[in-house]
Formats: sequence, structure tokens, C-alpha cells
Amino acid sequence: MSPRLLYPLLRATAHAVRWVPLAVGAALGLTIVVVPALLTDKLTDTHVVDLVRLAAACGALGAAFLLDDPAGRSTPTVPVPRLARDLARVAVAVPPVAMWWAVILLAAARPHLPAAALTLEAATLLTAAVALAAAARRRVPDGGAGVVAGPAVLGLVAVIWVLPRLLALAVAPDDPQWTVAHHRWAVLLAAGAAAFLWAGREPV
Amino acid sequence: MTLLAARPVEAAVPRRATLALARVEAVRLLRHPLTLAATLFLIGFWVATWFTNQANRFPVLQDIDRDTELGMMLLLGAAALIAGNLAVLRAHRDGTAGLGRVLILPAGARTAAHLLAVVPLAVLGVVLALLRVGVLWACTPAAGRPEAYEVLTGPATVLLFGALGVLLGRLTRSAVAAPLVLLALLASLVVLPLLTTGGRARWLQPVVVQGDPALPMPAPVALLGRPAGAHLGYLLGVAGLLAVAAVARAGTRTVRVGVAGGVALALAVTGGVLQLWPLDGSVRAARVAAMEHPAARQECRTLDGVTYCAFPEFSRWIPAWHDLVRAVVAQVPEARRPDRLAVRQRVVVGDLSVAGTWHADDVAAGTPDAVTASTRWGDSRSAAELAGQVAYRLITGAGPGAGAVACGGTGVLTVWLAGQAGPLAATGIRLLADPHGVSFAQADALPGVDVPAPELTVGLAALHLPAGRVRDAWATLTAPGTTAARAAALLGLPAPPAGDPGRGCR
Repeated sequence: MSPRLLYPLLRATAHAVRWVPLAVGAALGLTIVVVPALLTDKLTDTHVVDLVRLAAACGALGAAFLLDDPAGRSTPTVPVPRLARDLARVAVAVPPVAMWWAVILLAAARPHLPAAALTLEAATLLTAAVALAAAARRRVPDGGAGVVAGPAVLGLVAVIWVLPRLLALAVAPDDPQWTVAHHRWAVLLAAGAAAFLWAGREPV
Repeated sequence: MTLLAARPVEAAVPRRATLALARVEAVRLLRHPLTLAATLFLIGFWVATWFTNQANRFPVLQDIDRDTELGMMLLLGAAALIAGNLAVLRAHRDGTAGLGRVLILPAGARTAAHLLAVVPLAVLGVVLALLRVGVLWACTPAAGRPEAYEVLTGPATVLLFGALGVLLGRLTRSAVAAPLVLLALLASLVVLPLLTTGGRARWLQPVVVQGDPALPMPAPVALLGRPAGAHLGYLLGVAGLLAVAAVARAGTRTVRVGVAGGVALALAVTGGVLQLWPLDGSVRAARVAAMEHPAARQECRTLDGVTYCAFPEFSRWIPAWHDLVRAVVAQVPEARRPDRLAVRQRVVVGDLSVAGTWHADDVAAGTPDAVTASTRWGDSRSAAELAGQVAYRLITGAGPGAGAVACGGTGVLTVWLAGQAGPLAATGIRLLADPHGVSFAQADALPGVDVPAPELTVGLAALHLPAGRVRDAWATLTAPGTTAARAAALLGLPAPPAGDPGRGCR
């Protein structure tokens, strides 16, 4: 694809993306982190980490609607490949999402908040959400992939929360398994990215 | 005449059509992938806890029904919320919303059908909850009894969440709203317990999993004082209000809907107020009585000369206690076995100054110096605590009492004898150990028998010796003045590191 096409593609994509789910998810995520801190001073590091994780899940839920395209049936005929269109959608969403996440971490400001590790978790959830949306779109007509991907993201969060100790991902910050768990998160992130690329292949 | 005859028919058709639509939607809701996944997840989770948590081998049913509520709300409730919401939005998603206007059913009746469709899912919840309790009651020596209101609370949350999903579908066309509401609810589960700090206000949450802070351990049903009935009414009232709001939002604002709203409001307010009422005085009195004078409320059974007394709901655990006690007694030289041994179950309610009352109660009941069994059983810690107290009682002849310290050879022998109860108790001793030694607590709260670190080290090492070798040294080990180092030398074990001589040993 020619670089000259990039700007028009990104601009048109930014217009086409449904921002409302992402914005609502981000706003709720921020609320989940900010409001409890205002209401009580009894929050421990574990509580804050749990709330930040829930905020990340809110963002991921919004991201599950990122690839929704009501004109989905007409786009297979355009010259820009499907994967490039998907990447363009992700590209326009990354800057606002990154800013939102920075605000979340600032709002959750704690002396010992493991920000890097939580950012890895959030990146994994967001990638998984977009990958699920890309995979769902192969089956769901009329660009309504978010309807399937959204609940699937919740299912993923539920599974992550209850994984047995041997495979635990959502561990407490003082857990000796913290580092090992984050190696698993990194593997999951790579798997999510690979799944996203796989789901963007053509033909459908 | 024709007009008069036609009116009832017109009124009847929508009702029949509403019920027909509700049937179809109910089947779709039950067969929805989310519902199926949630049901399998819920059952899988219950089965998994059986294998991961040893304490589940001896469940307490009044705690199990509470535990059931949370899982049901988070899984079946979530499925009702999201799938119910998606069902309402289906017409919009499929671009058939306009066609609905020419159908026989107005939007309000269609909304009512979606609301009715949640009921079979709630019934499924009742069946699953009863099945869980029933299987545990039949397949394990479960203690306690389930509370009907608590069993129905989980399904009530399914109704509540289902109604919320339908209402959200009528308020916004975005499919992201329902899942986000669920995440907000999860966040509230993290925060609300901190805000309410165990007060009655915690009953405003859909599900109250935390027990009364005054009852850290499982307790007989009569002592719980949970306003489960009022809470169920509150949940059903709120669910009704949400349902009425959904129907009204869809355009049906008839007198009947208004009356339903009034009834739901009355139910929610009455239940809400009653559940916030302070704990009943009779429950407080019953708690104090059960704590200070348990003998009058218990039934006793004698097995192989050992008397076991338990609250009637917990008497199914007596054979399991006996297996442990028998294993410990078997290692005591016959000449040193006491004539009488008693094990009494106790509960502790907030106040910790009851050991003196217990002694008097035991003497009055004819079971002096009874060893304390708690209201939790099946895990390694409980096994170690009972085994440790029984061992101390057998060695010294004295009841554990508050803060007894087993020093020197007695401490070594106490740990060794407790370890003879089996691998579970031995694991429990290691889990209970801290740098100062080990404490075999009574009812998980009161000090029972403390063994300092040097004695613990030698006692644990002695577990690897042939039992006969320790029994042969019994007299020397129990003699006054035998230190942990002397006991180690006697048993041919390495001397313990000179540790903290505290906890009453000089």
C-alpha cells in the first residue's frame, strides 16, 4: 500500500470508527478507579490493582466494538486489504487509548503501583478484545462483531480471574507468582496479536 | 353487539401472544451460548472447588448457600443481563425494528415477554442451587441446613439482572451498556465492603457473601441472624421496579403497570428497611448463650470411651473427629491413657474472654477439661488444631485452657503425637507454624496450646522416627525439667537451634 494513501485512509477510518463504546468504556473505567479513592481511604494496593484491572476490562470492552463496520459487506471490493483496514482502525485508536491509560495510572497513583505490569495486562486485554472482534467478524454479518466480541471479552476476563494457581494470571501484587504470571500475560499478548493478524486474512 | 363481543377477544389475543413470545424468548435465552457457558462454568466451578479446597469435604450448608448466591449472580445473572439485553436489541440489530410496529404486540407487551422470558432462567438457578446443596448433603457429611430464602436469593439476582438487561435495552441501543454495567457491579463488589465495614448497609448490595464480622467461623443457623427473607423481598422489589420501568419506557403506562410499580416499590422499601434493622436481641442472646454455655445446646455421643458433643447441626462430623482422636490415642502407651476424654464443639462470637465460662460449663455437663473442636472441619489446620489439643490433653491430663504452653519434652511429645493423627494434621502443623513455634488455637480464635520453636523443631523431626522409639522415651519426655535439647538427645535427633524461650517456658 502506498504511503500516500495512509493519511486519507487514517482520516476516513477515524470518521468511520464507532467511538461511543470506546468512550463510554473508558469513562466507566476512569470512574471505577477515581470514585472509590474519593469515597474511602481503606483501599489497599490489592484493591487498587483489582480496580485498575477492571478499568482495563472496561477499555477492552469498548475496544471490542472497534472493528464494527455497518458497511462491512461492501468493503471486500475496495483495493485496500482487510488487514490494512483493521490496522488503520487500531492505529487511530491507539493514541487516545494510550492517553486514557496514562490518566488511569495517574488517577490510581499509589507509591507501589506496578504500572508497567498493569500496562502489560491492559495491552493484553485490549489486543485480545480486538482479536476477538476480528475473529467474530468472520462469522457475524453486517459489521456487528462487537455484539459477539463484547461478551467474549467478559468471558475471557472471567476465565482469567478464576484460573487455577498453576496458570494464574490475575495475581495479587504481593504474590510470589507475580513475575511468572506476567510472563504468561506476555505470552497471551503475543497470542492475541497473532490471532488478530490471522483473523484479518483474506478471503474470509 | 359486535363491538362488545370483540373487545375481550382483542384483550385476550395480546395476552396469549405475549405468553407465546415469552415462551420463544425463554427458550432462546436458555439456549443462548452465554447462558450455556455460564451454566457450565458455574457447575465446573462448584466441582473444581471440591478438588481444590479440602474444607469442602465437610461443608457447612448455611455457608454453601451463601457461596452459591455469588457464583449464580456473577454467572447466571450476568448471562441474564447480557443475553436479555441482546434479545431486546435484536430487532434493532437485524434492522427489523420498523416491522415490529405492524405486529399484533405493542412494544410494551414485547418488553413484558422479554421480562417473563427471564423467569425460566431463574427457575434453572433454583434447580442448580438445590442440586448443589442436595448433592453435598447426600455425598458428604455436610453440617448445617440450607436456608430457603438464601437458596432463592441467587435466582432472585438472576431476575434482577434480567430485568436490568431488558430496561437497558429500552434505554439505549448500544450493546456495550449491559457488559459495562456488569463491570461496574464487579467494581462495587471490591469497594462496597470497604464502605459498609460490616455494617447493616452492606445488605443494600445484591448479594452479601461476607458473614457477620462477629462470627468469623461457621455457626449454627440460629446464630447467624441474616435478614435473608427481607433481602429476598428487597431484591424482588427492585427487580419489579426495573421491570415496570422497562415496560413503561416501552410506552405502556396503564393503571395495571402503575399498580405493579406500587407493589414493587412497597416490597423494595419494606424489604430494604427491614434488612437494615439492627440485629434482633434474641439472636444476640442466643449467640452469647451458645458461646458461653454450649453444653445445654449440644448433643453428645460416646465412641470408644471418648465423648463427643456437637451442636445438633454439626453432629455428622463426630465420626470424622473420632477417626482423628482414635489415631492420636492409639499412640499413647496404654497405662497413660486417661479414663475419660471429651471433645466439645465451640463457637466464638466477638468476645474472647470465655475460657473460664467454658471450664464451668464443662464441669457442669460432666465433661471436665473437654477439648475444643471448631465449626470448621476437613482442612489441615482444623485437623492439626484438634490433634494438638487432644495430644496435650492426653499427655498432661489438663485441658488446654487459654494460653497453655507446652514446654520441653511435653512440647516435643505434643507435636509428635499431634502428627500421629495423619498426614493432614502433620501438614496442618507445618502450616500453622511460625518463627515462634506453633499455636493450636481453640475455635480458630482463642489460644489453646502453644508450643515454642525449639520444641516444634524436635517434634517435627521426631515424626520421621519409628513410633516405638518415641513411646519408649515417654516417661523421660514427660518428666518435669526435660528440655527440648535433652529430648532431642534422647531421641537421637540434632539439637534444636537455641530459640526464643518465651511463651511461658523458662
